[in-house]
Amino acid sequence: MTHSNPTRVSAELFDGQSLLAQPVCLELDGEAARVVGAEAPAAFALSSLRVSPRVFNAQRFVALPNGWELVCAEQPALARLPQASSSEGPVAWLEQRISVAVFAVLATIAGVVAFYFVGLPRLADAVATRIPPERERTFGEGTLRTFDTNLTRPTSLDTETLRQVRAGFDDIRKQLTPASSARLEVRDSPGIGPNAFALPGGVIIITDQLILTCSVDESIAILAHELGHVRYRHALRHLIQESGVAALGTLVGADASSASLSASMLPIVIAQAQYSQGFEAEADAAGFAMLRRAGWSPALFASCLGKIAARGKLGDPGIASYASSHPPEADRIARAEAAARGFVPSRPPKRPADRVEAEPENASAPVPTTDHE
Amino acid sequence: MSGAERAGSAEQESSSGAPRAPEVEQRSLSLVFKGNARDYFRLWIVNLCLTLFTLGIFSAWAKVRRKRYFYSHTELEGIPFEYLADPIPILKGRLIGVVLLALWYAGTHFSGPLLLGVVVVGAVLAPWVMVRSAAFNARYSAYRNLTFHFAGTYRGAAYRLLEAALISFVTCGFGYPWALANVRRYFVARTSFGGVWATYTARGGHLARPFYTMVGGAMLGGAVVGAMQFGSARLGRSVTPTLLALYVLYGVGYAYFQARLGRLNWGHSSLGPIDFAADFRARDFIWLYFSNAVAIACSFGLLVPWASIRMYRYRIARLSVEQVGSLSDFVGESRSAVRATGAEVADLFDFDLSL
Ligand SMILES: [Zn+2]
Repeated sequence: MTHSNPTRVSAELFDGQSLLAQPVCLELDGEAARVVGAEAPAAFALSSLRVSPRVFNAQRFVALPNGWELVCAEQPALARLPQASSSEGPVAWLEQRISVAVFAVLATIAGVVAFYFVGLPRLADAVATRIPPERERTFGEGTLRTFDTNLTRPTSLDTETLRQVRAGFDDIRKQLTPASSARLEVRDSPGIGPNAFALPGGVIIITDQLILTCSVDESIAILAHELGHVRYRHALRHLIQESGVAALGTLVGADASSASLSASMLPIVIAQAQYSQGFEAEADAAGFAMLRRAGWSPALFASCLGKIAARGKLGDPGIASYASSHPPEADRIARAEAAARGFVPSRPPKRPADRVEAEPENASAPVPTTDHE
Repeated sequence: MSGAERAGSAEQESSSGAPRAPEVEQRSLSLVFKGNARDYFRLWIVNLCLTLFTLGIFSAWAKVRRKRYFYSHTELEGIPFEYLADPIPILKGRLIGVVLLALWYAGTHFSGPLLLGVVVVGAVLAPWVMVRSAAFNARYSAYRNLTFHFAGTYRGAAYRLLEAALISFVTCGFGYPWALANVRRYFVARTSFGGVWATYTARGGHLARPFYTMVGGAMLGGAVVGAMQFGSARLGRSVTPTLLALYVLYGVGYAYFQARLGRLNWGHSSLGPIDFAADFRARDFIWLYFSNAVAIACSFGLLVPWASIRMYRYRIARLSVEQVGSLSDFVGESRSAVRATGAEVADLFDFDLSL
């Protein structure tokens, strides 16, 4: 024979007409390909064949121009055939290599970390500055409606206490730069307990329970912290970052079934809580500055935090608070005390009948929630 | 392992040379999954990395690679399934999906007329998306050089979905099993392989038992958890245990229903001379879901591929395929035409939105 030895690939032939397999041999000889052993032997130009992309060592498919298909074991000879997909070949090549896998793990972790700590906060800032304040306010009003239908009732505090809280709030609000139309809403909510929230658009909710657990003056220190959130549009940025983290989580978890997917939300909740901690520290600092400018002592913040901590739980923005959205209380209290050091407060003004101050200082005895109904 | 033994015997059989006799009237076909978590992890991480650094564009390729991995490693009678799709239509589908999602997100957060518009458009598009995705997946799935085919229409799917919504609404949700069975019957019965149409014989009554068991269990558990929550709120304690309990409750209910539903769906499906049976057990599903969830959460997602392989392997191991008639019923449609025009068919309306 004058021919060089052809490469032989044993395969099963499927003619596209029935399910029957015919064992055949594919002979690759230069630019020609022959199928030997079928009912009718056939020859094709090598360039007219298409081999399916490699998937590790799984069997591969070779499409023939007459509609036949060969199924054969993965083997080096198949690399000579034209590929059915030009873009998948390089990917399959990368998948084979352990070094690439190791690199991909590191690059993915680095990418996720960079996106989380640098990309997403910047993106959130950029998006937040493009959302007009009126739009932001509609977010906040929507959230307030949700609060009112599900969690809160109108306040049951007396008008004098409310007047004092509002006066103090206005005092601090004047210190905001840039000026804001932040608005205070007082609500009764035994379910939420002593807490305050800054909603998007400058809507601030404070619960009766917080005002009663602490004093009126201490509540004003908490409101200064919430105004700090307003100053940096934290609620909106939080919303944007939350969406970003959720999108990233979906990308990573797209593969897991939905039940397992909800488990991969656990790291996401923790990740979002991490953001909150940065925001809280920022709001604390802004709050202390505003308090001092208005003549109030940041020490009020420390004592209020102490009382709430003694009573149990301080949560701030919704679900994330369960994964400790707030920096450890001790740190915050220490920082508030540091901010108050050497400061001579000119406020609060003397009040005729300070009924909240008359409450026993020993707040560790929990206030029965039924008292306020 | 019985699965491995079956695989071994099937390989001997398929390599015995002569074309298999079509006269065999009743026997079990071997179904084996040959993938492993180590390889799949490599495929997953490389594609995930590329997806992240192309801002999601590559996810279409990632999907093709993922489908190809599972198809190629699932062998029925020694021959793997084949996934034929091109990433471009998938990319198109995903871009459409992202736009819809963004509209939905904007709609829910800005509220007002936009949300109403999004809901209406979504309701009008839903049957279309479902039909197109089913058609796409069928057309690009092949076995032994024959492709699947889906012949559902927008009108038919829209009618079934509307009917399902009405049944569920009028019965306050208690008619959901019947609605589910109707929709499923429509989609299964309009799927064919090699000219043979699939059938789905389950009725709402079949699905009702697992559904009511799940709902009843959820209500009972929810009441207990609710009482716990009420108590802890009054005492001013943390609600974290309550959330955890609700999560576990949800997981158990979901896993139980998925196992029972999968079992019923396969048991009542057949493809001409081929019968299916799935011996899924609820306790296995519960264990798999929870152990997978813990593994994924603790590894910050790195064990997602391991979890996927584990779940898939279980499903395949418990799925049996019985041949109860002659396989010569299956004949080629126009497979070669699909091959030749595969790229051209990928017009604007050829897209896939399924995960
Ligand atoms: Zn805060």
